Amino acid sequence: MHAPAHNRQIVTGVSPVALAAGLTPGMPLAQARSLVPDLLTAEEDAEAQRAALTDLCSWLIWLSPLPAFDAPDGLYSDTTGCAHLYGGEAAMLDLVRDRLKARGHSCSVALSDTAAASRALARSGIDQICLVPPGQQKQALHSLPCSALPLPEKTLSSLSRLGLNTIGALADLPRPPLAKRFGADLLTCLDEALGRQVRPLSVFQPVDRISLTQSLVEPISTPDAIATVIAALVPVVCEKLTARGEGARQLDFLCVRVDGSIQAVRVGTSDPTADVPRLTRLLQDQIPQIAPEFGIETVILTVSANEPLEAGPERSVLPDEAGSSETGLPASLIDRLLNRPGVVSVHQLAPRFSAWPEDGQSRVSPCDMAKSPLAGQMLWARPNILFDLPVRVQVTALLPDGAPRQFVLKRQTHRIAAADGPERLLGEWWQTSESYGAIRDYWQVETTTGLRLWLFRKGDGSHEWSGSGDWFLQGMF
Amino acid sequence: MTTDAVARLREQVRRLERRSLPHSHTDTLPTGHSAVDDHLGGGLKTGSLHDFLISDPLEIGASLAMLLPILKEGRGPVFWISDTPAELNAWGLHQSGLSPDTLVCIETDPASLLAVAEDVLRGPERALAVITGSHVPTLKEIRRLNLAVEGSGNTGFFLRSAPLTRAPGKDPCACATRWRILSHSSAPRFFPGLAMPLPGSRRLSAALLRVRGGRPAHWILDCTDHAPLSRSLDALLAHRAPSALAPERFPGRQAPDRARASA
Repeated sequence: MHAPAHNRQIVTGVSPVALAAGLTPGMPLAQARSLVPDLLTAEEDAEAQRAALTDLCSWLIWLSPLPAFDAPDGLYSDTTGCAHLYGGEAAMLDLVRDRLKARGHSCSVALSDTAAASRALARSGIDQICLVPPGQQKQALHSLPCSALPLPEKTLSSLSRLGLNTIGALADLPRPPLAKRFGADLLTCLDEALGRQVRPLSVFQPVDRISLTQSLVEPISTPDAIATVIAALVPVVCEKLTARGEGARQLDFLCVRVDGSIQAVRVGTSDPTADVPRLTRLLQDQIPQIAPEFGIETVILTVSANEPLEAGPERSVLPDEAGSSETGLPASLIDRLLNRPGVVSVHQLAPRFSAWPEDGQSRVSPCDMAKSPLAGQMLWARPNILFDLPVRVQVTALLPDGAPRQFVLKRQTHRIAAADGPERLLGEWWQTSESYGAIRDYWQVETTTGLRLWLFRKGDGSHEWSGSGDWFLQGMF
Repeated sequence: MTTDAVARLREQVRRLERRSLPHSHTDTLPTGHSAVDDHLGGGLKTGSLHDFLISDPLEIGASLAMLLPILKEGRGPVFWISDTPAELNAWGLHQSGLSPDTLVCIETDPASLLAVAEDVLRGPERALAVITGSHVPTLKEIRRLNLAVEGSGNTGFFLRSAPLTRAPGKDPCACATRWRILSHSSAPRFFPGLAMPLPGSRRLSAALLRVRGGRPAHWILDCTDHAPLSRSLDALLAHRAPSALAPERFPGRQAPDRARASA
């Protein structure tokens, strides 16, 4: 990373590899390039950094409800009273570091009584965890350099000229001369770090989720009553969504029972929607999943995932029943099926080109299916039913590379009356060594009873390297 | 007074016959075979259930050869509901006329197969459902589905395995039609120089075991292909021209060709 400063490019951030090669932040870019000629550089993008930090800050809300920024590259979190949820302070810090690592960030974490002390400790080392017991931040900060405090560059350089290199040395000095020489800012900084003065954090407010909480006058337990509550809540949520120009992708419906336990229902949609009947029906289909027991006293409806609603041409104001259903798949029906218990999978079959027929299609989720131009481009006949695992059959043929005459499947002999083939397929020799030179000869056959089957022989029948010469049944026309 | 009573009676009969439903003007899906369509009065009725018995796992192809053209006539999305992974092949289905874009495969628990089918058939959306499974639906279950399709006008097809020896298909049936379709040997086409004759056009032995308000029948059907080309034109073109790139990408190769053409 580099950024312009004083008419030249200065390195502002380096990767661990570059750090090992001797590059440090603050070095001119030309010098860094002369040290490592094939250096990969990128200009700093303050906008993107701020956006990424905002993302991370709203992510951090799992830890405590009070995250805050420390621009440009730090985050605070006020975890007072939260540590016991994660099994103690040390376990909590481990968890924070593990989760940040899982997101691909290297970090250093520090926890102490004051935000400023934690900041100084965290910034004094990379990739470490620092936990200060209550009331001991003075000892912890004693040996740290003054640059760990958020002081201006000028103050820092004059401090180092005076030989005041550590915070401990600074804290031991009498206060009035310090204030006279460096101004009140230095003392404020020092006091905040040592816990003599408290500075409030400016807590970050993440983009608010649409969430409705409805306390009920009397606990409800019948499906009809729950349906009524859903029917009352969904229009309000949809109105809010429409006002923001967004559609829901996921809804959480939480029912707080009288005994304090929560029954949760989550539904997802295949495309962003703010359609009242559609969302109402999706939620009402889930009512059997809710066990009210002694009654539900509070319900919460949250839009847990939302996306901008595209104002496409298909959202026509006029109801036309014939036109819309013929062109596309009914999204509302697919949503209901995807959210339905008992459904294992809902998919469409997309053809793709591959050497062997069993790899010739992929399962895609409905609505992801692009209008495929491929399907029309198959010149050779393909069966309607295709086995992923071909079934071994015993075939009698007059010649080793000739047409099959009869085959035995499950101890039943089928005589072949007519056959079309062979269609020779070659394996994907560029993929694996087993497929190199592999050959399959496919025959469409019709038995004397009229069954139309798709048989293939491994190999060309004369060369051992092309396949074993065994016959398989792979499909039915 | 008497006319009033007669009118009330008529109203009751009409309600029993379910003619007051919005989809009472039932449409038909032609099968493509004129003999069958004449017998059924235009084809298979929409807003009802049709039962296809498959006597042998290898015979499923024959039922599909009958069913796929009907599904294509439906012009709605087709939901293939099964309790095992469907062994369908997108390439083959496209060649049989059913586009993979309109086909949605749904795999369910064996226990909730019919419940999911009812969900698809009952909904306000237009849909054709093919229900395949080993489970033999009882009369009660089929009547329940019948109510669903009558209300919505959707059409359901059962594709279920029923071996000829164990289930001859004579048991009572709440579906509109019941079929058993077997493959029949075709007339092979002999060509000089070929060791084996080529298969002729497909022949089916279609038995209409039961039909509501009609007589059972049996046909030998020829599935002839009247298309001028055996494959779509873009398939033939695609295999002639391997490159799908635009011609202007190769200015160097274009120029000599044109030069030769002019010379």
